[in-house]
Amino acid sequence: MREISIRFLPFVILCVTVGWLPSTVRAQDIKVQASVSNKIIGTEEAVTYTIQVEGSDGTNISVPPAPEAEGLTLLQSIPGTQRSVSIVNGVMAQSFGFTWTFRPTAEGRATIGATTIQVGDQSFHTQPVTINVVAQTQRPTRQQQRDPFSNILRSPFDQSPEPVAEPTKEDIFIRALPSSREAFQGEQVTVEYRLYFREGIQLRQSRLTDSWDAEGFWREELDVETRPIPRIVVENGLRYNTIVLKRAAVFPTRAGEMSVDPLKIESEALLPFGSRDPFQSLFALRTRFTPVQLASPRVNIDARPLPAGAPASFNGAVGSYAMTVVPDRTELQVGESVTLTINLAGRGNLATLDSPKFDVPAVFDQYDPDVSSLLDRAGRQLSGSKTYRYVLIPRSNGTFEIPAIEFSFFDPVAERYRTSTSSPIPITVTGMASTPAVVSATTNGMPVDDFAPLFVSTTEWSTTNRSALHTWLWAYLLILIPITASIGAYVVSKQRDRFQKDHSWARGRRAHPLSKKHLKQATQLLASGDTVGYYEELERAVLGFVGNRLNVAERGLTREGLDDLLGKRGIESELRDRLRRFLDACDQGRFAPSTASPENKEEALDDASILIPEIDERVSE
Amino acid sequence: MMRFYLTYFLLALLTALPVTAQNEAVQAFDEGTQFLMDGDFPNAINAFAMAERAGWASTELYYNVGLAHYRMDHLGQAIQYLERALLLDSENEKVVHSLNVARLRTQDQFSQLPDPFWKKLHAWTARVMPMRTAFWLGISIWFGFGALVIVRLLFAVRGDWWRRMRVISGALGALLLIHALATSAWPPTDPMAVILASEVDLVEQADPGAASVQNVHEGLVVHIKSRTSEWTFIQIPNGIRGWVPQSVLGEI
Repeated sequence: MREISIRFLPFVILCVTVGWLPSTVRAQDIKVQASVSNKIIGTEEAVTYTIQVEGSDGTNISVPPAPEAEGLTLLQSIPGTQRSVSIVNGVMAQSFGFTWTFRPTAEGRATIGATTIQVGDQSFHTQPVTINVVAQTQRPTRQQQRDPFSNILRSPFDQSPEPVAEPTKEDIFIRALPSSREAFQGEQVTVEYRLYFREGIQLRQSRLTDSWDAEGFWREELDVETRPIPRIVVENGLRYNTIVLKRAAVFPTRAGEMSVDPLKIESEALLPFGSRDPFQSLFALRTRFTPVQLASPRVNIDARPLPAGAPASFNGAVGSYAMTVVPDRTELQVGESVTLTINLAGRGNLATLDSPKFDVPAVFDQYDPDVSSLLDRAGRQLSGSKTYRYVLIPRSNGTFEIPAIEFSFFDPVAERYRTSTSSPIPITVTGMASTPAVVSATTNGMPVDDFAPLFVSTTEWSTTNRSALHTWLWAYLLILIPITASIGAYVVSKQRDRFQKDHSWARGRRAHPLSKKHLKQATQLLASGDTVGYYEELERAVLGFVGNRLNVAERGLTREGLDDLLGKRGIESELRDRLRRFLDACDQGRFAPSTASPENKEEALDDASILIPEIDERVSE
Repeated sequence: MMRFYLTYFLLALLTALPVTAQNEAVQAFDEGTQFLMDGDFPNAINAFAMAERAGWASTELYYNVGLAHYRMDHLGQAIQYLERALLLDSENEKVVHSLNVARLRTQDQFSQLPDPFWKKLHAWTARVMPMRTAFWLGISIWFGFGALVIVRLLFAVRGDWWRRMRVISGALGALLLIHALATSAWPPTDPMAVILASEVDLVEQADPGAASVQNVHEGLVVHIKSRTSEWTFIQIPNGIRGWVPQSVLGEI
């Protein structure tokens, strides 16, 4: 039984495969395309008209009638047929084609009309194709040498090089296909570069020549097939093979009109037409490749500025994102770490995406995040995720809350700002604070990214109630003390000098103190009962005063001399008489003390006390 | 005898008053420090505030208050007290380090407008010769100058050496006193303050509806130029000036 199973296994596989294949073919859509070998031909050239039916192996196709043509002659009424099968990504693709050959009848515009083809129970109509017929002399040489017998008739001594067919811009070209010509600043625009080359053209040794650049854009390469299988397309009635050379996502970094550089390649091309040797294609060694240089057109993109009204948490993200914020734990000990993972996933320029800003409670040491990105470059849209892992280490115990984290981005599809907000995360920290293990790293004895430890004592206190110095009255009084003292010393020194130099002034200054001194002594003598001494002191007080004030020696001064002197100083006679009577009374008291009564003594003292200031007043005048 | 005892008692009372107040400050500081070590930051701040109310301050007190505020995520107050601590001791390593750490967390990183040379000179002299040191040194030299003048006048002391001493002491004493009083009346820097609100707009006029000049954030140190009853005219480090409500500022 087992042997039988193994023996029949290939048959089973074949049956399954064969049974599966038609279903794949059936699943394909039928597509009919009409094309010509060349849109411009010379009067001596032929043109091939092809109707290609994709998605059919030809079994259910009715042979279509030859299309009617204007300005062209059909060379054969029975069409040639061709069938092709390809397998792309495990999917089989089949196509069936009918070809007719026409020759022009005259110069000018020629038209191959529309025709109808029946595929199964479906009818398909082709579009008319217009061809331009020109004089043969206007066509390139390669087109004039299509005569297969010309090589036979050619002289064997003709050593001229065989003309090489050169491709035109219509034969090979690159197209740049942007996903959009307008975009917001930061929005992705996908630029696809497709190489188109006519059927039958072979290319080899293709390479990029210049470095492709896009100033003003952030650029990200997208994946393309490394071994692309050409796809057949019809462009302007001609059949082309096309492959994707490059696909790039560009993001405008500023607003304004900007352009993406052309993509330039160098290659070598072999054209199937143009050789004089009809057997050339049979012998590869005889083929000659022509170097070709191709460049795509420049792509202009108008970048619009982002609209106003961005939320506070917006930091330039454009695209479509979702944010998740997850801590690895919510309960921990002082000094242990909690990892906060912020993941941003979606479509957009993830490379330039910044982490959302957030503040954690100050008891946490926050370290720079570990950032990782995962980009998906397949397809036409750059997508992926960016993850920020923040390590937080609490230094103190307690219950804390990591506040809600906001991430805002601009959605270019909806043309509005969107904000994703996480929920606040409570974190419970237990254990003792200020343990040495908390400080993980130090620099010069100071913890990195944290405050230094607290002070446990104070070395110097200062009062905070101190008023400003310039408002302090004592400051000015202190400054004035030396000045005042110096002024006093100056005055004292000046007086002392005058005392020494100006005797008249000095005696005048001394007159009062001396007279007071004598009067005081006289009073004491009166109390002691010394009448003679009393009157002597009174006379000395008055005469001494007069002598000092007038700067004359009172000794030897006669009464007449005194009277003259006072008279010359303008003292009136009445005062001089009173002075004379006083002096007479003093003489009587000295020489006849027994005659002096207590009343006389008191009167003499009064007279002296009155005379001194009166004389001083008159002399000063 | 009674008068002697009364005078003695009054003098002793006057001398003891500041000592008692300082003891209160020390006690409050110790309590606050213990709260801080226990992680009870609000009570630590209250205790430190009692020390301040007693009329005493120190670098360590201001530093610990700043640390407590920082732990409570009050960045503005933390910077305010650290700046105060720095004014008392500009070379304290702990203060300098912690202030740098706090400044790194501020959002506003404005470029610093350079000071004109005379302001730099003024600040340099104030730093080299502090105001009160200059005053007391100046007073001492000024008294010496007065004594020399009096000796010259009363005792006729003459000679070149004495004359030079008088000129030098007079000029030096006067310069020091002028410097001290001028520094007191016109400090080298404007009064400074810290933004305490998380975010505030500087406006063109002292009016809530006035146009915004600049948006600033918590922890920014600003210069105070003038004030009204409710508004303060400030200058931020890059020279831009504007009005902010007085309630968002913490004076250093």
